[in-house]
Amino acid sequence: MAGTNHKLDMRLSMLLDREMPPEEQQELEGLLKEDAQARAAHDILGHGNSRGREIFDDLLKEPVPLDLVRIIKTAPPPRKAVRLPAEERSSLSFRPSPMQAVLGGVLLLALGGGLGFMAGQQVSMPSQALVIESGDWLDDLVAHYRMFSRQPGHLVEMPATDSAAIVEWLLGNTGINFRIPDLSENGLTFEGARLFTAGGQPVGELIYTSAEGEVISILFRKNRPDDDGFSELIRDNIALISWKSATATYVAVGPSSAASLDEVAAKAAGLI
Amino acid sequence: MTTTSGAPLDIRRDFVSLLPRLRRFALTLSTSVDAADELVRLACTKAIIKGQCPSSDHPVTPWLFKLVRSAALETTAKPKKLPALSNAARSPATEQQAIVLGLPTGQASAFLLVEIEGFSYAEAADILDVSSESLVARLCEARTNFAAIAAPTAERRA
Repeated sequence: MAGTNHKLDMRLSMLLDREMPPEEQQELEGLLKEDAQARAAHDILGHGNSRGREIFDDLLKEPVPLDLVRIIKTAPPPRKAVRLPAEERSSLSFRPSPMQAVLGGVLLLALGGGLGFMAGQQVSMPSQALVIESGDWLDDLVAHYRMFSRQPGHLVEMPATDSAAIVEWLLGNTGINFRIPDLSENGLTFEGARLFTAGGQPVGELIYTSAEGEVISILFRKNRPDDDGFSELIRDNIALISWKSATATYVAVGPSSAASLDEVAAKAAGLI
Repeated sequence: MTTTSGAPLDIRRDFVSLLPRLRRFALTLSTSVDAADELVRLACTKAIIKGQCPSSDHPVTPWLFKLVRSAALETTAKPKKLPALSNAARSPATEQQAIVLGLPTGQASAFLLVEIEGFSYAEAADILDVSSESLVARLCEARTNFAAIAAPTAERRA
């Protein structure tokens, strides 16, 4: 009996959802008209349905934790595999002749001996030559970006209206010859440029903004022998993507939530 | 920021706009409010980081619910102490949350998907990865259990 009641309950529950063939619905509706017990069971299920709806409707009014929203909004999107220019390498394979090998060995010996002599004399080398400042310059980049990206009224030193002057200005101070990339297809508007120092070296900055108000910068400076060669990293919700040419290091900087910074970097690398 | 590849809209916006409903669904799969929020966080961030998104012929909402259900299965398979999102999240369950959390496994989720979210039996069964027969049985039992729960106060009836 209990089994039959359970089966009937299930059919009556399905009737509430109208997920049964029309003829079966009609059969059950006929049963409800004639069978008081079936009607009572149907009423219980209907009451339970209403009560459940009330409960779940109230659940929707619960406030969403703000940190959950923040975590999702700032979750980094996947980095697409984009090809960025690398430093040019010689395509020729190096196969020294015996004489070249001997000369190379002698040269290395002389160089090593000279360095050892100088170290013994405790000559202080210029700090800029030996101290690895790559960490400092990235810190400076991040601090600079964080400060100026929050100042919409003072975003640039030289506006985009005079592109020729920007190129002349930054070339003269960084020693890097460049073109201003047109990133309009990536939804970015060129706003202008800045010049600042990072790690003790002048850095040119081209500043773009998106329709959503995100600030994206393309920075460049002369290569240093002690550059750490990073390609991509995130510091404090700021993403940096780097690439190099024979003479310059370039960095695309933007919020870590920027969905396509890597595409911007790849585009800029091909145009700059 | 648009992409030149014409990629679909940032899925994060869909996640944020559907957060209340996703949390509600996660609650039916969890043992606590904090666990439910952690489930949502896990499902959403995993999908974002992996660049997952529904195909153009699949609606977003059932796909998102499936993500949450998959995260629940993953959490069940590898149980571990889930860190709270923050100290502020450690709040006691409301009466409604406690009712849903107290229902036997599967009933609340079946009821939510069919009666509240409006999925068909087939769609709901697919999201929960159960047979339609199981879904129908759970739905019936949920209605019976809800019927036994009294309304909270007289003001509600007014």
